[in-house]
Amino acid sequence: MDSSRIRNFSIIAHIDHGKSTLADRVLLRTGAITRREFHDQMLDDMDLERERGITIKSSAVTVEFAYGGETYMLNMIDTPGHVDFHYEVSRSLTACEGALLVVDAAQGVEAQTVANVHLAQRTGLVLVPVVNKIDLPSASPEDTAMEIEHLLASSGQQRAAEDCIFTSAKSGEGVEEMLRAIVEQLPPPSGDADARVKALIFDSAYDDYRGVVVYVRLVDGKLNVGEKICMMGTGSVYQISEMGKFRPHPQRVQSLSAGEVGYIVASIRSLAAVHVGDTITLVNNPAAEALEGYRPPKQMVFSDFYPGPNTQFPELREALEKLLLNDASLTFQPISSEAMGFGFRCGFLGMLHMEIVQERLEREHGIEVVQTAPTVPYEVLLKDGSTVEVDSAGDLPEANHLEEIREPIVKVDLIVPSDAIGAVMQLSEDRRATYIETDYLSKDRVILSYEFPLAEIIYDFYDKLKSATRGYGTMDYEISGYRANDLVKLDVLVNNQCVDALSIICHRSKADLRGREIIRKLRKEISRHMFEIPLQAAIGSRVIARETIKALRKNVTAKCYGGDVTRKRKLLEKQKAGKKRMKMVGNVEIPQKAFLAVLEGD
Amino acid sequence: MMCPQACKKNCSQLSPPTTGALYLHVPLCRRKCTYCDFYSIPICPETARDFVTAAIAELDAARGDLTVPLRSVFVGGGTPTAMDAKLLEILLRAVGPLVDKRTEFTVEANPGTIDPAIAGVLASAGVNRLSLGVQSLDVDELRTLGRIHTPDEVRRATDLLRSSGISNLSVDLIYGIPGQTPDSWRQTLRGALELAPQHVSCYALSFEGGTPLSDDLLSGRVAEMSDSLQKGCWLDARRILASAGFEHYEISNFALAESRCDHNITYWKNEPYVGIGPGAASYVNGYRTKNRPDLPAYIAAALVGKPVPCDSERLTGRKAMAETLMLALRMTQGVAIESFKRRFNVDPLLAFPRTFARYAELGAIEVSDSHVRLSPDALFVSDTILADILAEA
Repeated sequence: MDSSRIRNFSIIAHIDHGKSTLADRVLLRTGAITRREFHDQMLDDMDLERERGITIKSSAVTVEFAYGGETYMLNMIDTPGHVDFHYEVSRSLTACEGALLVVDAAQGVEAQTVANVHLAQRTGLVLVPVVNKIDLPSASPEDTAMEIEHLLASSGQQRAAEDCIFTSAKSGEGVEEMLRAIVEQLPPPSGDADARVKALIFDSAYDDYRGVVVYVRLVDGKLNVGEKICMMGTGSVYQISEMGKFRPHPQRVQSLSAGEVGYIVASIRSLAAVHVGDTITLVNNPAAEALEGYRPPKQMVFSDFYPGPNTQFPELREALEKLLLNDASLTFQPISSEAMGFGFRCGFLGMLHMEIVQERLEREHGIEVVQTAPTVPYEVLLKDGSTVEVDSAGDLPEANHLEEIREPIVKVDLIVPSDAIGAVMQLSEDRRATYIETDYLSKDRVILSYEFPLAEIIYDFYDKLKSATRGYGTMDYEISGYRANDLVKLDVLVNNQCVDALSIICHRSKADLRGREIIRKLRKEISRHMFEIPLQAAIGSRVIARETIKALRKNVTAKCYGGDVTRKRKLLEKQKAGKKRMKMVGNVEIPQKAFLAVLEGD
Repeated sequence: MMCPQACKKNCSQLSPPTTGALYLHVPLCRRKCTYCDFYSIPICPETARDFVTAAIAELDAARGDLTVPLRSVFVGGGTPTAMDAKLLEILLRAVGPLVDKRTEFTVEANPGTIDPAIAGVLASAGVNRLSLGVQSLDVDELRTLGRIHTPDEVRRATDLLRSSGISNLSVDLIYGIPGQTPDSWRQTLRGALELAPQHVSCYALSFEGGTPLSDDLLSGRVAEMSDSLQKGCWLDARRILASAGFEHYEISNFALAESRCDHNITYWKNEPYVGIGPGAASYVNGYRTKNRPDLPAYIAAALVGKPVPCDSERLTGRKAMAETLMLALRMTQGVAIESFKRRFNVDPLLAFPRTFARYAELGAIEVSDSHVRLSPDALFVSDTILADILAEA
């Protein structure tokens, strides 16, 4: 097809602002699916995503739309909806010329809306603003349109509130107008079909029968089935065995040309071999240089996974290997801990990613894990001038070898009601944040920008933000670099034994407080044993907090229950059933929750 | 009623072929105590008569499982002595052919139900041991427990039993009663010793879900005695009873020489027994069965010669080993290594190496040439250890 009749676009929206339903509406209106097939969140295909109301894996759907006597090819590229997948979002957007900016008429602009606008702007996309859910009783479409106008103006795009398209994905109202706007307002792709092949990989998925399915946007040139291709970032070479488009059901094609979007199958066995953002070219006639913006996936949250009491180490390894098949962002390597035995240090894009992996291990593989508090990767400068990356407190070199410890810093946008500014500022200061600026979206909603140490927001910051803003606050973050800080290693001793899995790296000014908190939490989590258990927090050899768990006085079934032995046995088995996810450290049983408790604030 | 067909093939190796212990459950009471969750319903003459008829029918049917003369018979409840003396006599006479003079023949009694007629029936039926539910000698504590008797009635009952010729007495006491103090507990202990019993059981009060006392605890009307004070009560019992010549032979049980309760020891040694009556449990040919706690259904089945409704399970392998340890480690002598090996072909220490090693290191497990046992201090936290053994099974 003539590339002037192609439009490549994404739908960008905050979680739950109706992106998926709107996408389904587009499929229905263009005849890609029947009304019978039309059901909510058609594009999301994992249970977990559906439950969490988010999209983890993106995909692309091609539809045809007749307009002004011409047939247009619309390629709708889905984007992941969570901050952990920032880089993946940015690659999906790079595959587009424009995007629908969808905002819920009842919720207004939220943190992810802002983050997405910034990303789209950096990618040079044309935005079509859409106010969705206009038929909700609590909707205020005009106010939302004003917020969008303000937001776009501050990001350098002049759009009047009147330019917004008002839709209800639920009823279908405004969808026709939205489709027309896509054709009218978004530019066609500008690639050169005769140039050397450059195709952007913006997503990939694993299929049990065909191996890896690679989603590409042809930027220049033309690809044909049977051709040998090369991934420019990794250098690996494959032969294309199948190409196609999702409409939304897969449909094979013999070739893909500049401007088009589709999938490639090429006997690729592992997702790890395919990097989002990488460029595909032809082996025989390669492009001179790759597309800009590629970087390998960077894990920013690490946690150690140990097999739970009913799981064996090899089972855990096998399950992680299986997960890796369709989650290329996950990393893991074997480790051993004095306290915990053998396990894996796992790397994740962010906290949500970590939770998803943990849940998938449990649901899809029946694997129980005991997991340590998540940590961020630190850059450590040694006295000898070398730098090492440390992603676990236990790996931190001895204090006398350290020159400085640098921690990852993130730029955070917080959108909060203006009456909550004070509470949010206090919360941010408590987390060592550096204030950047305030921007009023409207008279009662404001964007607060800060720089935070990543370590301060990975665990419970979002919950705290929610409670400081009566649930209205939203946040988004982006890694901005590393910075040296006065960081120390805090050790925890249970029954006089240092539990390496409980050690954390924290700022010196907070060490005393954190130490006391951790010890107090541990005291609650560890149940009484037959002996007294001292708990201590220490920096080096200096003990900064101490508590004692008293010895168990009584745990006995005094009466005999006549000959009803079964009843007595069941009572005892019940006592033990509550002790799942325990780890023996020395002679002390430490529950899984205790390992996470070290990161929780009050 | 006992052994379903299925077990005939392969049950021989699990339990010895002789069943010398019989438990008879009388699920009838004048009034239910506030803490009790054993199966019983209020007594009325008609129900009592039907129950006795049904129990005798069940006993006849189970006759083949029993090795006569029995080593022990225990008639418990409920309150067996709440029945009319005539009915009690009919029930006890049915047991008569199964016992001889050497049989330990115990009946449980509430001190408030002992009158000359009952005492006479007990003695003439061959009952040679009375287990008296004294519980406390403090009027307020007895009221909290919802007992129907007074401290004075306890003394009258023991006098009456002794003069009728039943001299072997066991008294049950309870500590941890809301409102009880260490002092009042020690007074109850000393008062109990004045009754000159051969055997004393001291039970920590447990708040069983659904009982009136547990409701009172949940609503805050009564408070539970602290674990430390309860342990103090248990230590007091050990000390006071030891100085009166009693041997502490099980977590909650104390006996003068030659006066241990043979019937309960059958349970703790995980040896077979037959239970008769609704709610009663049996252990025959490796099968544990428990009659459903439903007196009307029990009567309906037994009177037409059908098996009474029951639930059944059979433990084998490591589960059976763990259960054996769970029971035997309640006794202060612990588990006899040789008899465990004879039964399971493995040394108990090797069968559960993790738990035994862990607690031996803490001094909670003591090992001699012949026995593995809990240390005296560990007895009061025994559930922690026993739960670990079950988990290792």
